[in-house]
Amino acid sequence: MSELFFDPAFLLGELGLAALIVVLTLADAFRKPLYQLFNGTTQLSELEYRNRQAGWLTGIGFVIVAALFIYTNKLTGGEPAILLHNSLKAGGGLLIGKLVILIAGILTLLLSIRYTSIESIPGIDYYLLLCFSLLGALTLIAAENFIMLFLALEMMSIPIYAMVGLKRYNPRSDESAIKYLLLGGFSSGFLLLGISFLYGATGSLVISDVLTSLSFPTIELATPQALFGALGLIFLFIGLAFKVSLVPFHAWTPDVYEGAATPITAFMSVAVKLSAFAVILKIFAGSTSFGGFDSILVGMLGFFALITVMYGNSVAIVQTNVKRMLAYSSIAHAGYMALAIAPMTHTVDAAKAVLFYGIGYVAMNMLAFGVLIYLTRQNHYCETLDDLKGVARKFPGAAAMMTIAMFSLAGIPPAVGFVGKIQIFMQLINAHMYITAVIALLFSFVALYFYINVLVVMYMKEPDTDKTIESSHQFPVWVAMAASALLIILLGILPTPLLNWSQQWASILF
Amino acid sequence: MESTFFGINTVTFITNLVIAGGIFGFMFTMGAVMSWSERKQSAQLQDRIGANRAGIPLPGGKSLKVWGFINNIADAIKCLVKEDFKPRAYDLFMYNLAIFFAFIPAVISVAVIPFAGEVHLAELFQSWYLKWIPGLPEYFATNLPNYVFRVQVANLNVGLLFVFAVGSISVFGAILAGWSSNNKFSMMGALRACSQMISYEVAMGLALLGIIFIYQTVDVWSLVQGQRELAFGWLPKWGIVLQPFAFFLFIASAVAENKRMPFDLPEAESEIISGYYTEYSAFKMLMFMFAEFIEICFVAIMITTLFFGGYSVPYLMADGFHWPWGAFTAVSHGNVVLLELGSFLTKVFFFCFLLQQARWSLPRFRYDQLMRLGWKYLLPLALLNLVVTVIIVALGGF
Amino acid sequence: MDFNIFMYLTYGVLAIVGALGLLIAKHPLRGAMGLLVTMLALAGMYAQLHAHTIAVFQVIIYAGAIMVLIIYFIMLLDIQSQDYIKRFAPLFWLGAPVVAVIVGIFLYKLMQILGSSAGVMSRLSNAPALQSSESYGGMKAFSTSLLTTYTFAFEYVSTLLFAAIVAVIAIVQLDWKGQGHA
Repeated sequence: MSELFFDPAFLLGELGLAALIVVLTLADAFRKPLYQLFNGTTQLSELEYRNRQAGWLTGIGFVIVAALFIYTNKLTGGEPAILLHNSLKAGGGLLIGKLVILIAGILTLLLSIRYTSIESIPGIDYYLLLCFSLLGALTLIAAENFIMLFLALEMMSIPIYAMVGLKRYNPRSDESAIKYLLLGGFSSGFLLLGISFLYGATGSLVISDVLTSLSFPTIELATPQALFGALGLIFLFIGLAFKVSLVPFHAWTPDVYEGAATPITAFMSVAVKLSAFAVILKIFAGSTSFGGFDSILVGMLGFFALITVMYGNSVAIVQTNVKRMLAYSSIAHAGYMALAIAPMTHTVDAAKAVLFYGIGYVAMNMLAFGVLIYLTRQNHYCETLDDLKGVARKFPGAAAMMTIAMFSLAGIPPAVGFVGKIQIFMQLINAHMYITAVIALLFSFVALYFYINVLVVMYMKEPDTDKTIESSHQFPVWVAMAASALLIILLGILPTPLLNWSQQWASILF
Repeated sequence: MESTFFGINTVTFITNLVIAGGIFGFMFTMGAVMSWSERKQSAQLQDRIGANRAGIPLPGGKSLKVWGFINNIADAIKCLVKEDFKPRAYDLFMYNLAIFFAFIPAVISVAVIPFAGEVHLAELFQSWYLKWIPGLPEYFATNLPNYVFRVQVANLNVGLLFVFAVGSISVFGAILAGWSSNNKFSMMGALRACSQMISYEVAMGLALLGIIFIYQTVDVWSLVQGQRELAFGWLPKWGIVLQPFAFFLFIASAVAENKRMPFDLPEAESEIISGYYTEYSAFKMLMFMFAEFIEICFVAIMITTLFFGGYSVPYLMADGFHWPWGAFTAVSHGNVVLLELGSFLTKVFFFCFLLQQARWSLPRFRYDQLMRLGWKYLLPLALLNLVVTVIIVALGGF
Repeated sequence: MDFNIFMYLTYGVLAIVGALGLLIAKHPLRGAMGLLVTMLALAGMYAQLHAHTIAVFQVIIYAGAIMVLIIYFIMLLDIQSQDYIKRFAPLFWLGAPVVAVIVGIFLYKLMQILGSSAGVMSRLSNAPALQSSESYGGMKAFSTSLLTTYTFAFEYVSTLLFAAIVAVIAIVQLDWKGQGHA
């Protein structure tokens, strides 16, 4: 891998996104003259124009950024490089990760366009923050030293703290924003504490240097370096576990998922989780073996992952709010992903399994939340199971979409969730952790109950009230739903390309 | 000479102790002198005589008054023996702590300021004013022939930033005093003081960035050394010459930072009695006043050090005057030290006078005007000054 | 023991005392003062390590700016209600033993590694004196590494601040009904 000071060719996408932020800001600053300019052709109010302008610019920008990522791959010949004094890794398989996150962003955008106008969320703030958060996620998975890791994590999280609170007239949204902010700050504190312990133990901030110079000769941690290194890694893990919401660091998840605007919930549950998992993989499941500390990590990770799966799946059963139910299901899914690295085999296969699951999870969660957004009307939230009663009669399309999402989340073939779960369990079985595998499998049968329950409510219950009000501008949501559904089915039937891609992404972590 | 004290050379320790004692003692004295001169000057401007009653009785029916300076001593005694009223404060511990936060930062920031150049200990004791001490000149000449020290308490390589750091701490004095007094006027004063000091600290820092940029240092010692150089062979490179604009910005924001007229809104008598120290009486009040006078003196010291060459006398080098026209006047080392010290003190006294003069010359700002001045005028102007400076330096100007 | 190391340890103890003060103090303002002590003690520790620039920035930014803001807001809230002036929440007694056990294990391990407590003192008294150097800790060294090794992080922080500004504006500009678009 070559080390370069700076080569813009590697960072075209990120630079494009940064440029998009500038363009968005400037366009909003000059919205009045622009409105005058286009007033003849559009019959919109100034406010509506402002939102449309921001939405369109962001959409076009995202597409350009996606094109830039593909172009980067061509320019650099798929060769990864380390840039800017060990700040960032770029190119190679990382581009797949970046594209996935960008696609999550695009899907979020499609889901948001109508939702923001229903909730009267000012579009420009919303889209700008989305761009910032994406930029953070894109740099987070590429971060090559701990300073960049921390900064990127903050760049990803801070806009989300604000986005969660954008439904200001809704007290629950406020509450969830404050909860997320406080706990997020707390987790950043843990992360920084871990980083400083690691720096103290090794004298370096470059992740690969730190990992290679850490040494744990025995499980006893009998040297100062081993003790501080172990503490650093544990704190680092706690900090990241907050972001991916592993039990017992999950307490914020249900409230925040419920309180936030639904597209933001969708974005949070996929992009944040996936990129934070990429970091966990890079540090904990990378090529460097931790020697004696590995056996401690197996216990710790295995324990956390297993109770996450058990807790998430069992608490989800009693939820009546679908968003809350999906929050608990997302906790459980984080547990599954963590299970794959629990054996601490430090193989590409383990990382591949997690990334495959994560990418699949992007599609399925986007679809599930997309259906909820599709069913949301002015002054009518679609959040509880009651709201979903008999939806299948009025909206068979949406109900079908929900069926696909729920099947995939539950891990029923032929959806992509099934392949993902197989990958995860293969890791456990290869490491001879049969009991863990059996328990996790049992709880995924438990999970079947509440996923299927949604479908039962949709198809077999009589609708309470008249919910036939159709609303316009549903096209973007349909596009997002259709794309996600297509991905779920296609990748479920033909998982090989995705397996290859996650293999490429995983191999760059090594 | 290997005797050490806590790992520090004994001679170093003693000289440092003497310098520290001298400089901090100077600051305390200045606090007293300033309070006296302020009273006298206010009297002059209001066509009064001012304090002149207190005196020390002398034999022969006369009393020593020193133009009212003895009044200070009387005041101090009065404040010491007066009843110390305590408010029903929220928190008496904080109430008392506030005094220290107000007083200590005012005093310690002077630690990084050089009062004179490098002093050669053995040579200094050869001078006419120290020669008479029996034994010491010979002792130093034989034992420490090459010992050199600086008339500066602490030679920090980030001295200028240290001044800012300490200055930023002093905000706590006002905040805690106002909060713990359990008095609305105090609270208002504290809020005003806090926002004013935070706002003007920004402008002050930015105004000084140009200076830092030109002399390429944040070490106050090197800053003064840089100002001793000559431009075109005759013009001293003083801060006022290279950064005239920054001088005005600095003086405005430093006075505001100091909460002096015309920026004395935190203690505007006609509106909020005495601001954040309304509830302080007797000696505690005196400490606040004292700290404020010391701060004025410190602003004068900063202006001298940053813009008027510190202790430097134009054309005076370590061995004498190197005049721009090529002539040379030799000056002995003892006299050089005296000249430098004298030059520094003269400048400081002049700026103390100037800052006091402002008190009765300018009316007080309104609060919104104050904020507008700080954020909308001083801050952008300081930035502009910085940009212009950077461009000129980049073009090889200075 | 070197004087620097002695002072370093003193500041370290002071920092811990301040942090404990933050946890134990009843009134938020006293807690904030405890935090201030910790910040200043940290600055002292940096200074003893000859990282003067960091020490001064620690005071300017943390003690002088952040703490002032925190105290400003505590002051504005004018907390007198007894609900806020509780020392420990009930849940504290649940979490404290867990933390105590973890810290205990850590200290036990540490002591095991360092030998006895006498061993700690002998290690400290034999510690080499901290040396200052031109290329370390000063403004020049600090700025150089900021603009070479950490250039990207430095620039990234400015973007992060922009993001934070946008986030704050987005949160505060709406009026309560969500109708205002300032």
